[in-house]
Amino acid sequence: MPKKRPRQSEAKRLARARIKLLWKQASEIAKTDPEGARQRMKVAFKVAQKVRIKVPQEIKKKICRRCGMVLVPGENCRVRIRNNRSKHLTVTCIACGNITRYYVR
Amino acid sequence: MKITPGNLTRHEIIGMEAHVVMSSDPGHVCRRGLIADESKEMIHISTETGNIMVSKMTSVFDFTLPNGTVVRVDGHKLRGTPENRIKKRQSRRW
Ligand SMILES: [Zn+2]
Repeated sequence: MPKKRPRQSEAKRLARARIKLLWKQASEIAKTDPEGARQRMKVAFKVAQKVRIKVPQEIKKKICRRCGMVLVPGENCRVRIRNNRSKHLTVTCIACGNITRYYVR
Repeated sequence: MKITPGNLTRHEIIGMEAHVVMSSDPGHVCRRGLIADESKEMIHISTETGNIMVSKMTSVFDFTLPNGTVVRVDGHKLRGTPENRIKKRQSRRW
């Protein structure tokens, strides 16, 4: 008899709890141990990929897309409101220089 | 979803408190600390006297869950990368 897998929905619920837990830890240690925080978020993204769910938008915005660092405004990222063409927010990661723009309506 | 003894092997163990009960390396026995990282074969524990890497396969761990209960797990049950453990089913034999 083939081995039965746990139900997909259960795996997804478990994954959401794990991502939340990892994010809580990562945001707590972001200032003291940036490398550890980055490692935790790496695991979180891997878990999300495995069960095919999305990492919540509000968590994604606080992570550098290029180097995976947890961004803390005033610590390792620069947040500016700019107003050429249309109003937008630029977030610059100081570690790698990656710029992310969020448009503000 | 809360961490219970039933789903511990599929849940997140990073950040939990662990105590090495048995290990093939006598230098690692009876050391405790927070789990800093996890890979396929190893668990990285940050103890008071420095970070150690303990092999999963040849060790037995005591995990302290957030609600205070202590669960003893054979490291063999935790094999695999953290994202692969989530879909593993354990045959219940205890
Ligand atoms: Zn970056």
